[in-house]
Amino acid sequence: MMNNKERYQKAFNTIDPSTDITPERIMELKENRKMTKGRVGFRKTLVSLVAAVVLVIGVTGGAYAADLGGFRTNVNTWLYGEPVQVDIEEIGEGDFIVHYPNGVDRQTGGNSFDKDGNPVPFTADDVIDSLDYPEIATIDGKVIMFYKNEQVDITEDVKDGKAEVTFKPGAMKLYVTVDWTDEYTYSVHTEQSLF
Amino acid sequence: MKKALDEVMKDYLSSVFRVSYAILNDKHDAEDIAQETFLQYYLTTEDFESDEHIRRWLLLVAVNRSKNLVKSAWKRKREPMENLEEMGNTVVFQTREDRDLLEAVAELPLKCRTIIHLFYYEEYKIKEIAEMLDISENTVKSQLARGRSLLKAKLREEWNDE
Repeated sequence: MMNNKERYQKAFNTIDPSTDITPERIMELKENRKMTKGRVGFRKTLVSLVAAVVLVIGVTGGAYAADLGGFRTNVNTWLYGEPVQVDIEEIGEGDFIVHYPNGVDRQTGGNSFDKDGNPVPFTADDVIDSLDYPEIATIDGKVIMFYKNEQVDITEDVKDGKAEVTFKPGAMKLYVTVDWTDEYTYSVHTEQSLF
Repeated sequence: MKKALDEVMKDYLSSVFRVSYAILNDKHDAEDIAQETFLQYYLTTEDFESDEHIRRWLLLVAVNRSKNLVKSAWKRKREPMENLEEMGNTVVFQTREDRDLLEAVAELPLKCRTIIHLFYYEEYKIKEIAEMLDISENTVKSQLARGRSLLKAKLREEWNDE
């Protein structure tokens, strides 16, 4: 009869990574990272001290159920420096779609964490709080960070797939770390102070 | 003594993938983390002292990256059962017990998952896990006890009393 350790190891030995993960693939990843540094992220991770949310940006042409939960309309926010009003639709527990007026929808799903580290699904209010995090775009070869109606060129700050930027919109100082995971994904971590 | 990437991947890819899977319960995410971990190994200037040093470094990078991904809260709309089935041809569960155990681990609190996996799969001792994760031995012991208790409650006769 197996002991717990043997049982555990036997179960996990049944799962294997894809055979596509090879040293050659890692080298491709490295080269791609070089070439795509600073490209527009289609998914961005927004992290605050206790909560986090990821937005997946994509055009959604398909139908979706409109009766799956709360629906917030006319929420004021920004899209790459322009003021916009969005509608926020709850499509499942902790999962939302933010509808922008230009036809772009962003899917967002997330959890905050309680004191024991257990996930608590986001609410519409959490999503609203996350809307004004910095956005990154590549325009004419420049990496631009947008924050509300302001923008700053961070091209020179991008090193090894990361950028650390201090941004001072108004009286507030914003410390922003951008970390590109792959060509489509970047994370934005922010801390802020009044001075 | 930094070893060649292909040699390190041959030795540790499965371990890195499995510790990530234990934390993330998502095959594709675990594969992404494994790739990122080995890219980080390729790029690092860390001066490794031994094979064991390399192994611990890789596992720790994978653990930290996996935890960051969990905390970034990207939730694929996929239930654990669907995820396992999605593996399709790549995974053949020999027994229902294997499948039950993976599901039970996936339901453990985040803190427990890492410690349980490092203890039961990688066979690290409590002191070694505490050093790796930079936490106290008492924390490791309490999380291990909590994890065992939750696994026992879930798996019943499939998990022995310890």
